[in-house]
Amino acid sequence: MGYSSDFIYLIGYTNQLIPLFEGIIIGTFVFSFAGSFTGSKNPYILAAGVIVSAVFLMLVFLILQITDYVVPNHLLTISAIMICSMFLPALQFGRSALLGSQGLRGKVVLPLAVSILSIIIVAYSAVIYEKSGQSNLAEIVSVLDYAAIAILAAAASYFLLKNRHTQGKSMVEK
Amino acid sequence: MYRFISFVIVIFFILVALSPLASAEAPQQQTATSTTSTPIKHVVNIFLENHSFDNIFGIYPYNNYTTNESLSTNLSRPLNLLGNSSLLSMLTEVPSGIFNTKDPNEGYIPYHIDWNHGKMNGFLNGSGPQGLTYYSAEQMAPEWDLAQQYGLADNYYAPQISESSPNHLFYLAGFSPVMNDYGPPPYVPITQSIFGELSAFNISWGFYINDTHASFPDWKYLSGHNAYSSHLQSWNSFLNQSSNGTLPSVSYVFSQETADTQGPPDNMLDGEMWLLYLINSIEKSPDWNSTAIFITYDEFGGFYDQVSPPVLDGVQLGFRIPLIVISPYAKEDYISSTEMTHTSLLAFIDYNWNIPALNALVSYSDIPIDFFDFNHTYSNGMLERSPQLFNSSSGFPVPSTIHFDPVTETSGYNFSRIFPMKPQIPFSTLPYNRTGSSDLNLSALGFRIYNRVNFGYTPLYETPGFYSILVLSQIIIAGVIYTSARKRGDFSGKKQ
Repeated sequence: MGYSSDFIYLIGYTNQLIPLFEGIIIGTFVFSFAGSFTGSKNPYILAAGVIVSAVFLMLVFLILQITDYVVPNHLLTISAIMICSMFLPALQFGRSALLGSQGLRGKVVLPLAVSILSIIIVAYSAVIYEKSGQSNLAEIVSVLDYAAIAILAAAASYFLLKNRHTQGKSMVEK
Repeated sequence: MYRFISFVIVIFFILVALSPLASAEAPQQQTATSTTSTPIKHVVNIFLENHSFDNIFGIYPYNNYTTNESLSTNLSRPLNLLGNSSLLSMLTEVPSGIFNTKDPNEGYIPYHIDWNHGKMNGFLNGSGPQGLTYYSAEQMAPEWDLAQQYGLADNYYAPQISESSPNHLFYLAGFSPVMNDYGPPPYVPITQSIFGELSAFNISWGFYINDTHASFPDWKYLSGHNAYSSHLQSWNSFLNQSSNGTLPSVSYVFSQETADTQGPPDNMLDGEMWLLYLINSIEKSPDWNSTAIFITYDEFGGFYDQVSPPVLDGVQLGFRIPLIVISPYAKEDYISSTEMTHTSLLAFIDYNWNIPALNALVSYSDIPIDFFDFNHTYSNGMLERSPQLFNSSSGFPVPSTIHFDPVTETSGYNFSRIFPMKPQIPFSTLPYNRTGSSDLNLSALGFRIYNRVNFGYTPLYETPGFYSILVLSQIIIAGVIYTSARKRGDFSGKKQ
């Protein structure tokens, strides 16, 4: 999402690495845990998560356009937090549609793992990018773009198929 | 419903997957032109990296060790740093024997902080204090000598306040679909570039790089380049063609992807050696008498420059960079204040071969025509000047081959003694002024425009449009969830 939103244009400026990573770390943890703890089969909650995320992402896009991509540090941290809002619906779906309900340990372990792995992936991409002389970033991270869409599509398909199956069973029972 | 969603998803993925592979428009043959507007039959564009005008020519032609009053009094003050001592005192002169400095922070953001909406006072926060330096004759004398013997522009700008990719594309195609290097790789159909236009008009051209086996970014940017692969050639081919007198009409010679670019961490000395070897080989060529060489840098690299860049036809130009023009028709010791950018070089090509302006921006770009004097007859009865070779015996760092080993120990090098050179023609006898400018452009001359629409693109999956689609897809998924839950009766008071 960061790439597709043009947010990625901001990562080459090493002077802003700290506010950028502050936002990414805070945002990843906050939204992952929020998603994990609010994950349920209640469509209102799921829809709300998706819409909150969409609104945040649109806000990020708006900030980039208004500032002409020259984003002050504090706004960069806020933007980085907001762009991580993708984790909210992702974790909600993950818990409600894929994993089902779990205990407190499950609710903590999943977002913790997702957050740490995500931060490692971002940091790894940054290091590779810097080592390659700040070039070919597209080739480095575009595969992650495809992965994100694939996960999104897989989750949606799974949910729809599961829902269809449930509907079919209830029709048979009737 | 599910079939429809599946269909949309499949189509969407196909579009995303194929977008970077979109093929270029087929080249169209146009009427060939055999005549040129000037005696110039060969243009050689040489491209270096990452230095501002003030960084290399800020104190030109001042030299601690040698003086030449007749030279210094005719140069580009007040745009020269010498005309602003308070400003000069805030910058650091690169010490003797040092040929490279710490790389300033580069990129769209630091450059815009440097620029600060034209105030030019954000360098400490943007590119950083390492950008507040300037070189002197001790390092730059070979390049200063080229400028002194021929012409130098003091009002030439990078096309964008950004780093390499967009500026390179302006150099090749007169526009850019991308804003910096961090994002997606750009794709410009080669038919939209100067190369496509030259081919369409049967004008020969070559794209010369060190190693044709390597994946060269600027060549990769030009989609559809496979159809033109015979034009991608090595430096060695260029040197052979130069010595045989078979240079194409237009040559682009790239220092990029080597240690000779002069952009940090490459040192200035290697770039000067490479440049001297190349210039000498062209001056020895049978084609010399009909050649013009344009040497410039892609962008300013984060190094300080005092001049706020202007706007050209709605395009905010980038920072000031050097342009040296070498030709047997170039005025001697000439400083051009014509407002120019990379599209001016494209405009010169279009003007010289009487072909349409590559695009609208090119048509509004002033042509570097004031560098030349096509009317003067010299004492030898010729219209053109004799070659001015730069010999190693005179102290110039001319290598024995273009593929020389990079110099890593530079502490023993000081070139201040070789600047200035003795003028080839006494200044007092020159029939022209040594400063000037021109506002001639193709639009004023009524040239038609070749590319009315620039259709360079960024792959769909890397655009804000794709981002919007993702956000929209989230909303659609939310809608589907809502609808299916409603059908199941989840809104009739049932709890999960």
